Amino acid sequence: MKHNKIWLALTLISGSLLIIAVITGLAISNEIKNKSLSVDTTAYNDEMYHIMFLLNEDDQSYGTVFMNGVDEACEAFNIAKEIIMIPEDNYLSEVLDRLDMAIYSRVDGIVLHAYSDPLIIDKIDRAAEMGIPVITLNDNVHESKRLAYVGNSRYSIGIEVGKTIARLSGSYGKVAVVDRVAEDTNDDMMNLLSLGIHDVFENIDGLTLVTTRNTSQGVLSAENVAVNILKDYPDIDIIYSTDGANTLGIVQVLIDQNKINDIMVIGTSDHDEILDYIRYGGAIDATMVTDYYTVGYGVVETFVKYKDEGIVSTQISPSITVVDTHNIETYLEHREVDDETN
Amino acid sequence: MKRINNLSSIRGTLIGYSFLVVFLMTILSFYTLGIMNQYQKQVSNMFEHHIFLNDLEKTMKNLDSNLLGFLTTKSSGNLNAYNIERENINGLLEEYHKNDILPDQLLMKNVDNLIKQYILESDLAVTFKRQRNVSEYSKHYDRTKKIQSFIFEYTQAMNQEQLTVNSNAYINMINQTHWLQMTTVFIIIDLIVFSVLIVYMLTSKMLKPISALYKSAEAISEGNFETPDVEIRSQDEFRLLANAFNNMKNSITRYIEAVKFKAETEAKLKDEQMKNLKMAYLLDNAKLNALQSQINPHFLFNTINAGVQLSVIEKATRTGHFLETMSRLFRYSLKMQHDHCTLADELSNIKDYYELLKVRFRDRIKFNFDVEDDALNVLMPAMILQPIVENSYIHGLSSLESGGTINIQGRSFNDYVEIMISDNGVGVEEHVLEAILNPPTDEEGIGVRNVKTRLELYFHQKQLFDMYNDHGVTTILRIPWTRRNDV
Repeated sequence: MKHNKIWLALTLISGSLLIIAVITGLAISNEIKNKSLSVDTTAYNDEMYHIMFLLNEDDQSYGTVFMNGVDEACEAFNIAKEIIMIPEDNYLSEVLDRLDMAIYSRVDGIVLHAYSDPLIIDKIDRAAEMGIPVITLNDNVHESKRLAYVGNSRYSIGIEVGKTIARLSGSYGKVAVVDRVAEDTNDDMMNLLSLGIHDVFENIDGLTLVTTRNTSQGVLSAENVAVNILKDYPDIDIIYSTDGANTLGIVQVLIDQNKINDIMVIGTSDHDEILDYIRYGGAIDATMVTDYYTVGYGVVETFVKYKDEGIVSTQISPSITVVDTHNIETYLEHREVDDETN
Repeated sequence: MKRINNLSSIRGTLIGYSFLVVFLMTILSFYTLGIMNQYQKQVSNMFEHHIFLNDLEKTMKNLDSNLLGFLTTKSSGNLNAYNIERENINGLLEEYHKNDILPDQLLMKNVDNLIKQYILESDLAVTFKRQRNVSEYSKHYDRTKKIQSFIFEYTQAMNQEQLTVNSNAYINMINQTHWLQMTTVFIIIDLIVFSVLIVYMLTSKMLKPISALYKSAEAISEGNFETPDVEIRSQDEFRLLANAFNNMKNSITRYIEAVKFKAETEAKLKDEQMKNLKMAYLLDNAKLNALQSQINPHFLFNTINAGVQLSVIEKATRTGHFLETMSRLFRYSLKMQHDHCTLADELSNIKDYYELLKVRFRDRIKFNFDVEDDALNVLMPAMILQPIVENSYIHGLSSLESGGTINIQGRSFNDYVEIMISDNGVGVEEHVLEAILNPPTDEEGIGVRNVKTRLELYFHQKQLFDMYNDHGVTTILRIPWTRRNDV
């Protein structure tokens, strides 16, 4: 009897293993199919709005923080995004083609790193006439038929920078501005930043904006400009850079020429290296940090609001935070919390 | 023949097993087909997108070539070819929408719109060509070229993306194929093991009743008909076979018991016949003895009667009484040799015997009678008490100068009458006593032993006679109560 039970148990075990093996085999074969189909980076369905982002590849504003804002907004509002990063070299002609592509592709909206260029304005107008709303970044391009501009005006940035310099310098010193702008940027746009700084310095006798130098791209260009400024203005007290990479290039020149303690540097962006310079060495005294998460989220939210309500504000201004030795710890704590939340 | 459950029958079991094997093989086949189908779908998925995109590009190139040909030569052939390719590209787009090729692909949605825009611009170019409006058809053709470049850019991007997808799928497929091969090998091995186990269980189920029948048959062949019935719980032909086997065994057992009973009965009968023969022999022997002894008693009886008449003539009263008593004694012995009598008859005979002894021994020998009246009517063979009394007198008292007493007591019980004859003489020797109580077979006995044997044969019972020494010899007789008709 016991012998029979053992054989019966073996038979049942064998039968169970057979069923499990068949199910496992089918599951594995099904898994092959599922895995192969799951690699799809541009999911889309007819119920989704399609926004094409045409951005400047070399502008650090469109970094991870900006993309996080875009991604979360797209997920929140069920938006399909198509991001095309255009190199700064030959940006104008390339972006015009991409605008044509967006128009011919009949996208539902365009987010454009724009300049106040007639050709770009013409394309923006054409898209708008075809019912494709265009939201601009970098430049207001208010003369076009763009739907809205998300970002701070260069004038308001100039005002904020002027106030920061006055506060940190004790309202005394000669100031140089290293402004990173694209080749196609027009003069009016460049002058708005200086105008803002001037308007602050106008009421302060000790502060003077002695020069504004433009850089095209990259750290090397910034280093050349910094060297020239130090050569042309040996008594310069304060240098403000509008770009993160340029800020690091300028600091490198000051370290090389041992002028870290002589010249105050006001930078831009919350790049980790810049924050380390503020926190530990004091090579950089402050940095202007724009809330690019809000910019990224805001462009998508503005588009959705326009589609839902038909009307939106023409300009959405993100906040600017001045990070210096006094508030850097608090800023880092907040950023860490935000990173964990995201 | 009893009906059996078809599903439980041997045939049903074998058919069931065959179906099970076929079913398992079918599952394996469907499993293999399913895997192959998955692979086919997978490979189709991997390449159908490439094929579709390549067809799209090829058709677009042909469309552009024919458009350019028409714009250059205004040839109707090119225009027809353009229209054909235009239909082809529309057909591809319909296929895209209908067959859900590249579903949920944002880029394909752009390509779809770009192709529609391309056809719009190319149609305008053809229209303006027909109107000979060079600047317009050139402008629209330039747009088609630009749109075509966008389309190719997207198709290449999708091809690239698909290649990435396919590469990942291929790597996954290679890994999973390895596991699938192992799983399939395991399934085949397990299927073989499972089938072997099923066959083993099946044959065990079939062999178990055969083994039980074999063991039972072996036991019966060795003469053990007490072996228990073979029990088969299955509802198949083996159960019928076992039932038939059990019936056969039980039938043989009953037959053997009947034969044994008959033999025992016959043996008992023969034994009874043997006893009867022995009784007849003893009777014949007694008859012979009686015949031999009848010569003297008849002569003596007649002589004694002559003596009685002579004593009457001579007026010798005591002698006459003596001879008369002797005459009764002889008459009783002659009369009762072939008959039974009552205890009263026997006691009367003993009293006559006592009278003769008194003439001879005067008061040296005394007799005491203490017999209950109820015991007097018990039936018994004749001449039982006299040999015992004579034995007491001859062996126990005759050698004593002072004489002795012979006590005769009779007690009536429910089933028998106990008669005790005792004397206060010298007793008997042990070997004599043993010879009386346990006589050797077929040996002629002395008178007392003859009494014991006659009693046992008469009543067909043992334990009716006992004798022992107790200040003399004591003899006990147990005479069962019988009616006259039973005797």
